[in-house]
Amino acid sequence: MESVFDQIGGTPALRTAVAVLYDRILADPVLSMWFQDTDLRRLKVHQQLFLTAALGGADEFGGRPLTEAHAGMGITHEAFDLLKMHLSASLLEMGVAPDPVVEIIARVETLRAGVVEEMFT
Amino acid sequence: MSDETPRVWPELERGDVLAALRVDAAKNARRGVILCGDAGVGKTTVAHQLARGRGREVITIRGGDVMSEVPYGALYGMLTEASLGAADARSLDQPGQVAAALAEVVESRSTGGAPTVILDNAGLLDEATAFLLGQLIDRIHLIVVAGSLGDVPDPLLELWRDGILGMREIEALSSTEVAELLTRHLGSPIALSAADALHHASGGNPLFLHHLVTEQIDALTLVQHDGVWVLERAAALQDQRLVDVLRVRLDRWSEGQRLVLEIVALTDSIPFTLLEQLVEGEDIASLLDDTVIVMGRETIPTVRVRHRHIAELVRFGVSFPRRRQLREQVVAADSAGTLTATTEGVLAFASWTLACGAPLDPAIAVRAAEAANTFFDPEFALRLAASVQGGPLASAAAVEKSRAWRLLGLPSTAVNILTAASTGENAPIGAEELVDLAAEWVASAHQVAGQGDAAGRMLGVARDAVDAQPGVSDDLSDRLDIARWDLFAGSGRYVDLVTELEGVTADQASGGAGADADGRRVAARSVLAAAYALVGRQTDALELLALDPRAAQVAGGAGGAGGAGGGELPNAVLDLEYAARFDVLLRCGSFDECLATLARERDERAHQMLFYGSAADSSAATVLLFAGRAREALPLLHSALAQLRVRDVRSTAGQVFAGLAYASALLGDQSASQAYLADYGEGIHTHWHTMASATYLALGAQALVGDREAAIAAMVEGADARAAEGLAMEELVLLAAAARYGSTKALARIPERAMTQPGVAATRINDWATARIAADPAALTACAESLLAQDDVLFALDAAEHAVALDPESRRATALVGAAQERMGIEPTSISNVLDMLTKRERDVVERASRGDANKDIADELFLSVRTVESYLQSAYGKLGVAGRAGLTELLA
Repeated sequence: MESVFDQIGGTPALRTAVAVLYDRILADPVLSMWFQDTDLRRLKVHQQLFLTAALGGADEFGGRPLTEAHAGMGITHEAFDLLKMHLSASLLEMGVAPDPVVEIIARVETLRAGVVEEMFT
Repeated sequence: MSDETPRVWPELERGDVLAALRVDAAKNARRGVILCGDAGVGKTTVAHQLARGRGREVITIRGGDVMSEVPYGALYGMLTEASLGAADARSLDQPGQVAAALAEVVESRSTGGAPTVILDNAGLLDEATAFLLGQLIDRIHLIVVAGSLGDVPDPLLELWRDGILGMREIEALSSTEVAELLTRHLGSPIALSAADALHHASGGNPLFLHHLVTEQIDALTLVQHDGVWVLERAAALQDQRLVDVLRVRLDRWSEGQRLVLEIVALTDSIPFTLLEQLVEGEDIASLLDDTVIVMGRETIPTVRVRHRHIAELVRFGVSFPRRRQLREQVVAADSAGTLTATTEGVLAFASWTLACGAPLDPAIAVRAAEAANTFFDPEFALRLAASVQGGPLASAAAVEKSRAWRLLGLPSTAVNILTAASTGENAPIGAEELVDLAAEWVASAHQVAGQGDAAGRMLGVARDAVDAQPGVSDDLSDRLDIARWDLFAGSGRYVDLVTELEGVTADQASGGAGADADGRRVAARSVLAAAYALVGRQTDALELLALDPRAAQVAGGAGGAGGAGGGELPNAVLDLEYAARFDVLLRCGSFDECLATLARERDERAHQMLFYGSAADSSAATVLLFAGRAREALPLLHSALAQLRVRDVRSTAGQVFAGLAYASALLGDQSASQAYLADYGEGIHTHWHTMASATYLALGAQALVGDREAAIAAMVEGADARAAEGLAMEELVLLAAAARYGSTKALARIPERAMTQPGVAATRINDWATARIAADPAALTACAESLLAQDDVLFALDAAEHAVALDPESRRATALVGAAQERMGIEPTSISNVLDMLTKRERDVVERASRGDANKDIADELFLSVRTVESYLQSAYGKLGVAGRAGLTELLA
C-alpha cells in the first residue's frame, strides 16, 4: 500500500509543507518566540527528515530522540495544538487532499507525550 | 545514500588558460605574470599549475595581514629558515643584508635555470619586499597573485607597465568545466541540468562551488539516482562557513557600507532614488566604485549586487530581528511600491516578508507565486500561493498551485485543485480568471489521462464569459484559442487543425497584425507546421519553420523569462513553438538540426532545464535512436531516468523506458531490454508530445527481444490507424519499421503510397523500400551509402546487410555494414557467449547461415521448411541484437 508520504507527493511536497509550516509559525505571535533565534534552515531539513520517516518514507533521520530534543523547552499543550493546527492548515492550503492530512495529524498526535512537558502546563 | 569515504575536491587543470599564458610569455619575452580575479576563483591554483609546468624550483612568498606593515615582513619566515649569510630575523632592518640574502636564496635555487617565485596575496605585501623582487626580476620568473591590479604594489605594477610582466584575469569556470569537476568530485556522472544549475548558483567560482555542493549533499537536495547525480531543486548558496568567509570582507567595510549592501541584497534590486533615502550617498558611491554593487540599465536607475551568489550570502547572513527592522524601514520609505514593480522585485520582497514572519498581502503573494513558477521554483510558488487563504484571489492562487504541482511532476494533484477551484464557494466568475483556469486545465490535461473533455468544457465556459463581456481584451480571446489548438493537437486532431489554422494564418498575413497578436501568430504557425509534417506536407512545414519565432522577442529587447507584454512571447507559446519545431525536424529526418535545436533551447532556457532536464535528455536520446545511434543515446537515457526519479515534469517516463529498452536491444543487451520493456508496460501515462515516439521505440524493442510477430502486427495496425486519421507521415514511419523487422507486406505497401510533399525523410524511406523490393545488390549498396551519409544509420545498416546477403563478395557492402555498426556503437561480441543465448535449433541454423548457406539449403539439410528456417533466424537475430544475415556473418566472423 502507498504510504501517506507518497500519497501527499513525496519529498517536494513535504519539503514545501515544512516551509509553509515555518512561515506560519514565524507569523504566529505565540509560537514565533521559540524559533526566532534558531538556524531555521537546518531545523527545516531536520523536520523534513523526521516527518519523512514518521509518514512512511525513507528513514534517514539521524537526529536526537524526540523527547531529548525537546527537553527543557517548556512546550505546552496549547503550543502543541497550535503546531498541529498549522501543519494541517499548511497541507490543506497547498492543495493536499483531506484524507491523508487527517491521517498525518493523527500520527503527529501520538508524539504529544514526547514533546509536551506537563510540569509547565 | 551517504558513503563513508570523504570526497576529495579535485584540482581542475585550466588547460586553455595555461596555454594562453605560455604563448603570451614566450611571444613577449615576459619575466612573469600578474594573475587577477575574484576570491576563490582559482588564481593560486593556476599559479601553481603554471609553476609546475615550468619545471624549475619554486619559491613561495605570501603577503599577510600582520606582516604587511613591517618592511620585508613577507620574507621573515623564509630568511630565518634559510639562515643564509648575515641575514636573520635581526637583520630585517638592514636593507643591504636582506637583499644579499634573498639573492643568495635565489642563486641556490637556480640549478637548471631561473626559479619560479609565486607571490601570493600580493595585496598584503610590504613595499620593501615588492621593491626587492623588482630588483631581482632578471634572475627569477615571477607569478603575482592579486585580487585586482589595484592591489599590486607599485614596484611590481611598474614592471607590468613596462611589459616585463604580463597580466591575466582568471575567469570563473565554464558550465562544462563545472560538470567535469563535479563528475570527478562525486565519482559518477552528474546530470547536465544539475551541473548547469550549480554553475549558475556558484557563479562558476570553484570555492563557492565546493561549499555549495557539500551543502546540497548534506541537505539531501543533491542525490544519486540510478548512478547519476541530480538536483532536487534549485540550489541556493546558503552556507554559514561562506558567510563567515564573507564576513571577513564585510568587516573591512564601515557600518554604513554594510547597511547599503544588506538592503540591496534583501531587495534583489532597488531603485537608486529609494536607496538614497535610506542610506548615505557616499556609502553607495564607494561600493559602486568597488563594483560590489552595480547600477542597472533600466529606465529607472536600479542598484543590485554584482554577483548573485554574494547577494544570496549577504541575505542569509542578516539576523532575524535586523531582517525585520530593515524591512519596516524600507517599506515605510517605499510609498510608491516600486520594490514590487518588477518580477524579480516581487519575488525578493515576498521571500523577505515570509522570512520575517510578517503578513504577506494576498495580491503580492499571487504575483510572486506566478513569478516563482515562471522562474521554475514550484516549491516556493506553492509556499507563496498557500499563504492566500480564501477571498477574492482564491481562484488565482489555485491556478498557481496547480502550475506548481504540475512542475513538481504531480499533475493529478494539479487537476484535483482545478476541479475543486471550479466548483467551490470561491469559483471564478470573471472572464480573466476563467481563462487562466481553462488554460491551466489544458496544460494539466496533457499529463493526466481522461482530462481532455473536462478541459474542453472549461474552455467553453471561459469562451462564453469572454464573449459575454464586451470590451474584454483580445489578449484573453487569443489565449483561449492557443489553449484550444494545444488541446486539439494533444488529441491528434491535426486534420481539423490544418483547416482552421490555414484560415488563421491567412487572416493574419493579410491583416498585418500588431505586436499584441505575436503570440497568437507564432502559436498558430507552430501548430500548423507540426500538423503539416504529420499529414505529409513536409515542404510546407519547413517553410513555416523558417520564419523566426523569436524575432519579435528580440526586437522587444527585454531579457529574462516569461511574462506577456513588452514584446516577449509567453512561455506557453514558446513551449508550443519549440515542441512543434522539434517534431517537424524529427519527422522530416533532419536529425542533426533537431539535436542543434535542442542544444540551443538548453542555452536559451538554461534556468528551466533543472525541471525539463529529463525531457531534454530524453528527446535528444530519441533523435539519436531514430537515427540508430544507440551507444550515444544510452548515457542520455540514464541521465533522464535519474532525473525523472526526482520529478517527471513532462511525463516522459514512457519515452525513457521505451528508449532504454530499444537502445539495449540494438546493443545486444537482451535481458536489460526486456526489463525496461516490463517497466514501460506498467501503466505509465505518456505526454502526447512523446506518445508516438515512445510507442515506436517500445515496438522496436519488442521486435528485437520479444514477440516479433506481435510487434510487427502492432506496427501495421498503428500504421492503419494513423492513415485513417490522415497522418500520412506517421503511417509511413510505422510501415517502414514493420518492413525492416521482416514484414514483406508492409514493405510492399511503402512505394504504393503517394505523399504530396515527401521531403527528405519520406524520400529516403521510399528509395530504401524500392531497393529492397528490387533486391538488387548494387542499388542496395548505393542506397546504404546515401543513407549513412545522411546519418540514417538503421536503414543504412538494413540496406547494406541485404546487399551482403545477395552478394556476399561485395567488399563495399561489407564495409558499409561495419561502418553503420560502428555508428550505432555495437561492439564486437565474443562468439561463445553469444551462441549460449540460442536454442540448439537456432544455433544449427545460425551456424549454417553465417557460413553463407542459402535458407533453402539449410532447410533441406535440417529437414525443415524454409519458413521455419526463416523464423529461427529471425528469433536468433533478435537475441543476438543484429538486424540481418550480414550482421550475423560479422558477429561470428
